[in-house]
Amino acid sequence: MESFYLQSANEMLGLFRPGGAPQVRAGSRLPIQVVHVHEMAHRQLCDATSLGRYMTGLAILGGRKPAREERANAVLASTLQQCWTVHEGFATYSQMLECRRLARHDLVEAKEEYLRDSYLSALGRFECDEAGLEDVVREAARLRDPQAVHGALLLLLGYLGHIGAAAAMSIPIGAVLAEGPALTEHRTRVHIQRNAPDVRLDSVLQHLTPQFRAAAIRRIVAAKPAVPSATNRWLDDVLSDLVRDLCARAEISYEPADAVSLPSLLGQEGISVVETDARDLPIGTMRDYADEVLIHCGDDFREAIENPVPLDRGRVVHEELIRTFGHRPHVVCEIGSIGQEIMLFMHCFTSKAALSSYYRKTGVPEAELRRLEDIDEESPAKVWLMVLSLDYGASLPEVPRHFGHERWTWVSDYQPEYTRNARHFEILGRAGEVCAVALPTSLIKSRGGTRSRSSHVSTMPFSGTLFSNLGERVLERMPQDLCLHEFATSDLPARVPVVRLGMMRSDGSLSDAAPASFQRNCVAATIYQGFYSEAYRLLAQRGM
Amino acid sequence: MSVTRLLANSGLSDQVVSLIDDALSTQSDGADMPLILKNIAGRGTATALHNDDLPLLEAAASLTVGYLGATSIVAWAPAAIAGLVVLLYKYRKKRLELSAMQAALLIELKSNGPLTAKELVMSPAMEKLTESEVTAELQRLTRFARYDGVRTSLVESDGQDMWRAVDV
Repeated sequence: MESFYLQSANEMLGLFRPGGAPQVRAGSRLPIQVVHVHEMAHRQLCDATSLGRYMTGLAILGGRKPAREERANAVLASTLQQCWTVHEGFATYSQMLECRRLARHDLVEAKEEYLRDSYLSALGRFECDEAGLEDVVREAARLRDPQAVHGALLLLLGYLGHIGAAAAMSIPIGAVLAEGPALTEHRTRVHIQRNAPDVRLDSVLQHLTPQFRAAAIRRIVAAKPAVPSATNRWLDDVLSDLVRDLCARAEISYEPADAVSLPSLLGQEGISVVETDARDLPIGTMRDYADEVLIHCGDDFREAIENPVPLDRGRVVHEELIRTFGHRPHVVCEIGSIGQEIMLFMHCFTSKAALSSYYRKTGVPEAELRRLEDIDEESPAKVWLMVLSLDYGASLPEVPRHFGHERWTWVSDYQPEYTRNARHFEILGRAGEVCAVALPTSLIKSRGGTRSRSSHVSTMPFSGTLFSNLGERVLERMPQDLCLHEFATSDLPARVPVVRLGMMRSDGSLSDAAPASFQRNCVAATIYQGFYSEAYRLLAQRGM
Repeated sequence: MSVTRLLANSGLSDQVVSLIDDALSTQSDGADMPLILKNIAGRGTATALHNDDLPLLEAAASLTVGYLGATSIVAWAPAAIAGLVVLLYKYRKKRLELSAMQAALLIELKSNGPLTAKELVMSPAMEKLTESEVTAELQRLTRFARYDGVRTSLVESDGQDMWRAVDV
């Protein structure tokens, strides 16, 4: 019998649930930061619009009150139906801008190959042709620093997308919610149906004309303080004004995000929450918020955690890497205990130059080489992650000897509370001068998830530009930021005996001239990808 | 004829067609916002529509288009339209030939039930109906006849005019 297949599609790369942090799966076709930006766009709409905040309230209700979970989820799903196009269109639009920022034009050009039709269709609502962007380009070009023009243009385009999406999502809802318990009431749902953002979007886009875009950009540029501001309130205010103006032009009602009070709404359900006005938070705090992400590492990593490689075996693999590439890679190690086990998560990086050389020697497709040309010189390329098992307390100081490195450097101090655990204290005491560094490595496979002879060694996809800003900020405020990025530990049972004892990195491994920023980026990439937090999560699932 | 063309021929927009496509090929409770890509790794699921099912989907699409024209909502959100088509199709697969209005009733009750008939007519999808008409439809849904004549209950009442959907 002949069959007709609908879209076969189930590679889920990211997830966002209102009220939570974006979740990203590493090791997929898309760089994690691209997926992160997509999910962050959802969070942006949930934080900055009236309907988004209502949805956040529903998600919190479902999460905190098991008896109300089913109902809250049903209403949330129903609400999402009314704004799916706005949410996914804006998120996918933001994702495309991030691809351009990363110089991953291949991902933009080939979007039809990997985006489902529904996302493409929603994206199409937000894209505009180049003719409509002339004024935006002109404004970006007025910036003095030519190097900044491209980034500025993408930023401005992002603001324009936000204005359109936020206008559709800023429905009048405060009065309905103020009438009494309202989160899951039918009258609220009916009201949302009558003010569906996906329907409002049609009017919004008709008025998001080239003239409006140009005027909006001029207002944003003009509003920027001459002296750097401590907060982003100025930006938030001007964007809110523009959203309001756009709604007025489209002849649809507008209500700001703060018309929805989550403490009040959730208080009616017996849930206490405290709100912070993010407009007045320091920019650095908001960047940390924007960087927040929970990364899931996939089956390969799960297997690696549950079956760590003995140190000796890791050394064999490491030597193989060096033979293959003829030079030492940069290494960042996360060291931690899981129950009675000490594990070493060894992240091996190389540089653009080294990767390029390897590509040429191994004859990778020309397109891959061209793509590499667009990547910053100081971007780290993660090529290996090894999960090694260390004897408790015994072999940590020996790690450098196993891998033939001269120096290692701690990049984070352990936390004082770790010393309350006598065994942790013993380990760190023995570590002594272990200052790690210079794990010379190299790569074997750069892409595609192929494995080495050791079944416990996972390859990671090429990382591209990885959060250079994050790296700078992490390192300038060490060690606190390292602890900040231990995700979700508070959700775990108290008896899970897992702790990251510290991190160390190789020092100047690729060459004597390895720039400090490259090393920082390697650390940032390690932190950002949060493998250690994945270990927490897996252990929690196992009920440890 | 492809499934996509079949749906498009019924008058549904491309976006609604693609959302129907998503809904039939993805298991999700709909309360999260996932980024799902096309599967090129050879893993995962695919939804197959056999020849026998095509008329069911076509009927679901046609009924929905007709119903949209009869309601007073100026425009429906694409995902809401897709949800109606998918529910109609899935019930037809279960040998339950619902009308579009009955499907819309079930969607309302699933999302926000239990509800009274008075509350149901507040919904944009129901507002052209009277309370008594809605009550009559609900009564029919309590003993709904399948193709083979077997009756099944799709909604139930608490006796106080509060209705909820059963196993939607």
